[in-house]
Amino acid sequence: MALACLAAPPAGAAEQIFCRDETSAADVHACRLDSLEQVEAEIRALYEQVLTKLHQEDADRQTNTEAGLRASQRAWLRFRDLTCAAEAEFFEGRPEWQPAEDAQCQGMMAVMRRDDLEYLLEE
Amino acid sequence: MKTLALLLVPVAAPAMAQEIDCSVPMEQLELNDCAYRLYERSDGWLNEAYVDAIAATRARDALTGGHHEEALREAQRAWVTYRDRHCELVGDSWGSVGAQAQPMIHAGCLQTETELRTDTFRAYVLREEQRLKDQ
Repeated sequence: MALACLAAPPAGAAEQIFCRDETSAADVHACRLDSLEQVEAEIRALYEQVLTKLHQEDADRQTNTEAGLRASQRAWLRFRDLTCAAEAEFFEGRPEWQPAEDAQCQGMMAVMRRDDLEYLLEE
Repeated sequence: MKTLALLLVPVAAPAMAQEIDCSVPMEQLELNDCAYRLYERSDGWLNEAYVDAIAATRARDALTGGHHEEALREAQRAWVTYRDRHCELVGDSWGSVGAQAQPMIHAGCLQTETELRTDTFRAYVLREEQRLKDQ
């Protein structure tokens, strides 16, 4: 199980990231990829909503939080990529599981980001 | 400043272990201070978990000849940047509602991110211990 994936108790789509009912590495990979795409679609939609909200607030208050959102998104992408790259080393002995484990790591990182974006939207 | 503290200084836990109760009625300035102290306490726990995780990767690298310790350090530096960017934004975008509470909101964000990260490291150490047992 991947490093990032053990973090917080997952909820909703995140639960499917584990794909426990599947058996072969290829099936688990396909299943996790589905979940990952689902969470990433949620992130894209949320990101646009938060951007719209901040854009409006910036116009009202003469602030520049929109740039802050873009900077945090870049920082998250780098954090995700480095974390999942670090994870990959754990599965060198089992190359057939590498794609499935990477999809899980990406998925769990995406769930964390989704929660952070949701907070920004509701704040 | 927090980055340095996180990466270099394992904070002594016992001195920080006393209860911090921010729920009693108090002025906003005190609430801000209280929230920051809660965050500092969680940062101390993160430091401990991080030191354990680094020790686990070092032991693993010694066995495998891998470079997991450096990879974990690099990922942690990237996390620090993400935490700072995200929480700065959370604080800044709160300003429209009540600027006085902004430091409290910022500290609360730091605490949330820090606790999540601590869980990750603790799980990581448990996994490494299990792996060693299985070998």
